[in-house]
Amino acid sequence: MKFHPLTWCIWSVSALAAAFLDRNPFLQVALLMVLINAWLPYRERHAVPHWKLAIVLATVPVVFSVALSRFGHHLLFSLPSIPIIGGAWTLEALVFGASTGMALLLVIGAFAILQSTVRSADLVALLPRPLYRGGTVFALAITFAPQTMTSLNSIMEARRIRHQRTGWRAAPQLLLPLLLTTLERALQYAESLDARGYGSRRRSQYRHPVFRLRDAVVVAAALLSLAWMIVAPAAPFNAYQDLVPALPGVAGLGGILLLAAPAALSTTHRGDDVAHRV
Amino acid sequence: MHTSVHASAHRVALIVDHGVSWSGARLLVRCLQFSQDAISGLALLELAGINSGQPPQVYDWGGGALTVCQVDREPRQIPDRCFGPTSGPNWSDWHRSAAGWVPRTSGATGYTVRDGDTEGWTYSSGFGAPPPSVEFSQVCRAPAAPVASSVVARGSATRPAQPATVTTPRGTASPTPSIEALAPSASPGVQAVASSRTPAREPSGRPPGPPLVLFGATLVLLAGLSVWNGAVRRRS
Repeated sequence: MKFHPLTWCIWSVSALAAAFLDRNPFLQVALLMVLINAWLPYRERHAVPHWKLAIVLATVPVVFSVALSRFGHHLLFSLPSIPIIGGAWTLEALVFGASTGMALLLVIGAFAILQSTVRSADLVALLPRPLYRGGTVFALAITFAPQTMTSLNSIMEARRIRHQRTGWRAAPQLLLPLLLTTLERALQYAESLDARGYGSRRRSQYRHPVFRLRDAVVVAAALLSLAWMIVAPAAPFNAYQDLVPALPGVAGLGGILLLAAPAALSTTHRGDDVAHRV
Repeated sequence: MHTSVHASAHRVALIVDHGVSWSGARLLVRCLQFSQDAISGLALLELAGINSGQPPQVYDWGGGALTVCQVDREPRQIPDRCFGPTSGPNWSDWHRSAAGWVPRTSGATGYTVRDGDTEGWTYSSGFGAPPPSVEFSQVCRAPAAPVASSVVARGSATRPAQPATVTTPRGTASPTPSIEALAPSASPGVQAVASSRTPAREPSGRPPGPPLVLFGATLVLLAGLSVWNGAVRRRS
C-alpha cells in the first residue's frame, strides 16, 4: 500500500519523537515491534545489511556506557586500576547503555522506513516554491556523498591493480583524481539539470501522489500519538535511579499503538496501487 | 566537632552514600541541627562528625576551592592531591531539589545549606552518581521532644521510634544488612545509621498484574499484525 509522502513524513516525526521521549524499555520494545510492522510491507531483499549496521551502532552505547561509567550500586565485576576502564563495572551502566542503544536503533529504524517508503524527489516536490530550488540542490548534494565514496573505492581499486599504494600515504595521489571525478560529475549534473529545464518551472510528475482517506487516518493517528506523548508523557526511566522499569499503562502503550496505523491499513492491501516511479 | 542536640530548629538532612566496594555501612542518613541561618557544606560535614569524629579531610586547590577527600574514613588511604589517578573514585556532593538530585558545582565551602535542605555525598568515579532517593521528611520528622539518639530498625517504621543508644560504631564495617533506618527521626545527632549493600527503594505501591497483561496483549497484537502483513505480502 502506498501512502502519500507527507503522510510518511508526519508519521516519521511522531515515531522519532517516541524514540527520543520514551526511554522505558517496555515502550521501546513495543515501538520496535511497531516499526518492524510498518517496515514489513516495504521490505526489500537488500535491506538486511542496513539492520545489521543499525544493530552494530546500537551496541556502541552499551560498550561505552559499561566500560566508562563507574556509577551504580549493582557491581558486575571490578577491574584493577587500569586507566579509563579500571574500576567497578556496574549493572546500572549496562542497562543505561542498552536503553540508549535501543533509542538509537529506533531512530535508525524510523529513518530507514522513511527512506524505504519515500523518494527524495517526492520530498522535494512537497517543498513550498521558495524552498524548492534550494531543496533540489540540497538533495543533489546529499547524493554526492555516497557517489564520492564509490569513486574513491574505484580509484583505490585501480591503483591496487597497478600495485600502487592506497593507504593514507597515497592520499595526494588519491585526492587529485577524486577531485577531477567529482568535478566532472558536477558538470554532468549541471548539464542534465539544464537539459531538463531546471529553474524554469516546477518539475513535472507522471503521477501526482494523491492524499487519500487512509492517509488522513494515518496522519490523524500520528498527530494524536505525538500530542499524547507530549501531554501525558510516559514515566521516565533512568537505570541509575531504578533498575527495574515501571510497566507502562494504557496511556503509554496507546500512544505507541497509534503509530501502527500504517501497518494495520497495509493489511487491507489489494495490489491495486503499485507505486509509479518516474 | 559534635552535634548540637539542643540548638534551635534549623535542620538539614545529610545522606552519605559509600562506593560499591565499601565493606561497611553503605548508606548513612542523618538529621543535623544548627542554630545559624545557614552553614557551609563543609561545616555541615564537620557538624555530622562522621569521619571518626574528625573533620573531613580536604584538599585546597587554591583560592578557597576545597575538595573533600575523605568522608567516614573512605577512602582508607587518601590519594595524592585528593583524586589520585584520572579514573579514581572521589566524593561528590549533591543537593536535593524538587526535580531530584542536583550536583553541586562549587567546592564544599562555596555554598550554604539552610533549614529544610537535603544534602547528599556519594563516593564514585568520574563526575559522581546521585545518592538514592531519600526525602527530607524520611530523615528529619517533625520536631518533637529531643532525644539523645536512636537506631530505627527496618520493620519498626510503623511503630513510634524507640529511643535507644547507638551501638553501631560510626563507619565501621559491621555487617548489619537488615538495618536501613530510613524512618523519620526528630532527634538530631547520631540517630540514624543505615547499612545495606543496596540502597533503599521506594515501594511502587501498585500491583504489576494489569499493566503486565496489557503489555503482553500489546505484544501479541503487534506480533499478530506482523504475521498478517507477512501473509498479505506473500499473497501479493
